Amino acid sequence: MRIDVRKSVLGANDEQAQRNKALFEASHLTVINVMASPGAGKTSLIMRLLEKLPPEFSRGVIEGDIASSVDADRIAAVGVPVTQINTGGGCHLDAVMIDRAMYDLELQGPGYLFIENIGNLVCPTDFRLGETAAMVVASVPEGDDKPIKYPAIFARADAVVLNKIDLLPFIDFSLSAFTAAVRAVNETAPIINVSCTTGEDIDAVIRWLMGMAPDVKQ
Amino acid sequence: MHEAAIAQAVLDAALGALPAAESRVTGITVVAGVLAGVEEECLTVYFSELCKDTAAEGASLQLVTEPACLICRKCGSRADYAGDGRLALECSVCGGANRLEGGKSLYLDSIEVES
Repeated sequence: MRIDVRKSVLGANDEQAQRNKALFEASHLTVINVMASPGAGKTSLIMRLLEKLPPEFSRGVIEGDIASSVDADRIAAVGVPVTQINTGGGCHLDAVMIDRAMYDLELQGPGYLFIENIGNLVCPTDFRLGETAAMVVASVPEGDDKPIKYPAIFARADAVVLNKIDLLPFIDFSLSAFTAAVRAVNETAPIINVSCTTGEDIDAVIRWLMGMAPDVKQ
Repeated sequence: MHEAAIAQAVLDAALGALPAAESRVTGITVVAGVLAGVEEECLTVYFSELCKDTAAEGASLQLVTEPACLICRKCGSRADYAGDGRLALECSVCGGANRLEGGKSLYLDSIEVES
């Protein structure tokens, strides 16, 4: 006997993501799911943003890594609350992991929480975490064809940040080709070109974040 | 390798859809868009392990792939994107800029059950 089910495979994760989202909103937190390949500069970008966000906002970071606390140690060194999730080989974060990490972090808003996903342009795509917005970080040395090769993650981005633009003079990378590739899969996400090394245009990412600022008056 | 998590979610959803405790799942059909990033062979391997000692042990798993669509912003021409080959940024008819739509589904379509 055949039974029609027609049920989302990741429904359980999506339901937990909805509960996370409700908790984030009740805590007045704007939550950014930061996704990129390994080495694109996720941690460096988060550190730049932590430094530049206005002081009236609290801040925190959930670090996802397969192993080690290297990234979390960098965040902790600048005095920002951080929780490390080690997936032990798992290639993405899911909504249940975030629920547990929030319990450890005890972050209260109004503020910003950055979730650094596992360095991977494939697996994190399908798993909603309850974030306010998804930020995909690409970098110049990876090449301008990444949005064509990994369309799903770029399609899901609420903002695309292109990092390491200080390397443009040394690498065969076309900004117009990159922009056209992003636009083919994502018509609306702002594309922000930055350098975490020089600090160039980090302010543009801050402006994008401030457009989603939680209400400070309570 | 997120297919492990997806295989577990497919199994949970299939077992959850069983009408009676004594019935068994013998077949499962999953629909996945090309942008859902699910590799069939990998999903099948994980599923065949995870289903052991459950009411879906030995069930066959069929993955139906759903294409995405490239739509020209200029002339409106539509072409399927099956996930293989290079994603065409330009319309093959007029050379206008394409946009990609759809291909993101991931759902348990149906199960075959015997009691």
